[in-house]
Amino acid sequence: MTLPKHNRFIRFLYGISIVLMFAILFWYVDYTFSYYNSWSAADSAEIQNTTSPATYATIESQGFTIAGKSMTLSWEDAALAQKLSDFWYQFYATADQYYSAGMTEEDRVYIVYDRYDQDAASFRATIGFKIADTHSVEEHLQSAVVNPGKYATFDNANGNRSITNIWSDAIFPQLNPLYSSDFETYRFDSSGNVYEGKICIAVQ
Amino acid sequence: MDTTQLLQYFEFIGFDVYDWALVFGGLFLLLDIADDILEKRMDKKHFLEILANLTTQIPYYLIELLIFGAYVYLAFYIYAYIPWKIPVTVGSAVLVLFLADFTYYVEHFCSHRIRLFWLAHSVHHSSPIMNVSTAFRFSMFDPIVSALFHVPLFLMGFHPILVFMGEVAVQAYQFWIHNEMIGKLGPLEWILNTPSHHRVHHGSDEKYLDKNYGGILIIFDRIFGTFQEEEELPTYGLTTPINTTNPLKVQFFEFPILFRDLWKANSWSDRAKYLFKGPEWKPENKPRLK
Repeated sequence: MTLPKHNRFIRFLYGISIVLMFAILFWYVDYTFSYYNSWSAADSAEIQNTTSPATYATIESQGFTIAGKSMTLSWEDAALAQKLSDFWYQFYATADQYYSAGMTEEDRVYIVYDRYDQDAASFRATIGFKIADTHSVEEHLQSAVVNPGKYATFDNANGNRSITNIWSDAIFPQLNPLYSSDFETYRFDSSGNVYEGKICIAVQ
Repeated sequence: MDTTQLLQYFEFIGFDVYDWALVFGGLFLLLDIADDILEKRMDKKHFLEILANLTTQIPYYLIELLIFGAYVYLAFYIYAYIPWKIPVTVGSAVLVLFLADFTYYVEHFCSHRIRLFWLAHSVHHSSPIMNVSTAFRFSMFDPIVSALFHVPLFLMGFHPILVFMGEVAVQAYQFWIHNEMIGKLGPLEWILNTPSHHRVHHGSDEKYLDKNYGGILIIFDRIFGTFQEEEELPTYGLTTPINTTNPLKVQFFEFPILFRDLWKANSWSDRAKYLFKGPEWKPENKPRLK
């Protein structure tokens, strides 16, 4: 089997380019994996460092209501982190379905954790947008209320932690949590990138 | 890494790998064109064929933009309601890549052997030349066919991000195998889809028809009996050449042929067979035309 006649130099360059392409791609995949791994380790260290009493603030909230989508989860579920992650992805993929006529902030999303049941080891998570208190929630939406009161606030700028990380942290019992309505909040820009994340735990 | 970070990683590198493959695809095209000029193969017809290959990207990307959102929504909708979910790990990502390649084999087989899907895939095979520009020759309906065949992977419980990245990897791999520059690659020919195997796939010679459907791996062709070794250089294009570089005719040439067959069919059974049997099927079961 004979290939058509090619310029030898061009053919050499072609072959070298193919080898170079695979070498670059394999290096890039490996390098990026190492980078994400080291990022993950740094994030874990950051979580340990920033859940000390010196790195959270206490705020007073007037309380508010959100409308969106709810699901019931269990804190004893080994796959809890993945279920929450999937819940977020599904919400983002179909976010416009959860817009309410009473929305007060279009660029900030909340997840509220409430209805804690110690016997069933379950809680409800609701992802949605803040709505005016006087607005009647549309039938196709589910709502959750953040109660007025004091909240311990942790920074979560890149959104890589959740309230479930705080639950397993040593500082958690020291907060005197109320187990009423905890929440996370994130602002996103026009490209859909998340920033200005906060985790808020209701405390006594 | 936790699940969220793993998914971010796969999403990030998936698109980056495709972008790198496109960059090198551009380099390969420049080398192909330089070679054609130096070897005095570049005439007006050859240039127009390369241009026709590249211009199919315009309608392809427009349709891709339209249906991508719906496809993502469908994928996450299915995944949200599937009770059995496969954990996101490096191992499951490798498994998805393997299954995505097998899915591509099945999709590719059906695209050749079911005329309804051949309507779209025949655009890719209608090019009479074989260089990297052929890799860019797509039908605008290809995204729809591809989305359809990957639904089972979501039903199996794999995370949609992993499935999307598997699809992207299988597509990105195939840019470099569309050429006549590289001969046989020794032991790699046993496992991987190579330029030699893919030249066979694009051949319209009788012994090369409907062979070597693989994406990244050639092993599925070897297992299921659709493998053919390259023995001499193939003749590229369709068994009935389209002889046009008009972008509209390139996209839609097969449609009037099918519509004519459906119109002239004597029964609904024959119409169904025209749609769902092979492109060569005729009611009298005549041999394939050359």
